[in-house]
Amino acid sequence: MEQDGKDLALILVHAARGGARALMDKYGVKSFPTVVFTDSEGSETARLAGRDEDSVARQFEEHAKKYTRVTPWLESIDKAVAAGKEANKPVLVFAVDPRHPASAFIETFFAHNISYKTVEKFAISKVAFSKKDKQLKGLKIRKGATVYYLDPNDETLRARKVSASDPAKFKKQLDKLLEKYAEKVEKAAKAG
Amino acid sequence: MLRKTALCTALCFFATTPLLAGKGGTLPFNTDLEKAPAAARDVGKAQVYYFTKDH
Repeated sequence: MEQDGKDLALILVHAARGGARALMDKYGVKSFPTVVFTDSEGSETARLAGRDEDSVARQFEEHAKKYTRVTPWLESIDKAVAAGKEANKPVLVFAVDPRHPASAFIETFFAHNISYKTVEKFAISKVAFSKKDKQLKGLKIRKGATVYYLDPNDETLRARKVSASDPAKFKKQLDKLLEKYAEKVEKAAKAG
Repeated sequence: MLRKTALCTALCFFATTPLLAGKGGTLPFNTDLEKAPAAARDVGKAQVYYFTKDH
């Protein structure tokens, strides 16, 4: 977990500004300063308890660890395909190339820019990219620092590249893939 | 009063310490009270609200 605010949404509420009253009422804030910790849905979980640097830092860190959702990476393509088949979800494979700066960029997308509700609709795996990897070769995964899509129900599994050049385009593509996958599943159900 | 002073000290620490602060030297507090909670909910981030009268 990072401690620079990336794993937590830090929100400054000035009592005199618009919108503050509703939040003060919601959390019963009557004195200042007050620090309220909530889960991602906004339900209060704790108040600031620390009185020294170490305990304050620890409370931030533990709060992020406990309440911020983490990307549910599976450690292999096989596991993702099995999970996809079982839960009827399409599969995303992130081929990581640590030497390529885009890898960190893509990981940040998943952690901080893409709705977890969207992410949870996929079975997703993160695998180390290697040109020599036979499984990756077989799936036509030829580039590192790239995200690929797989339909776990296809008899001949073949990965399709998903462009992740910016978060907005990436989100749109994921939504489109989910839509197409749902259509395909519906057609198959009708036919079968 | 003592409690408030201790809290102020702790919060001043948040805002300046390199341990918690971003590269700019301050914590990246968001002041958009409409969008920030919704964005946090969307990406599944836990939230910390700092209520103040002083800034």
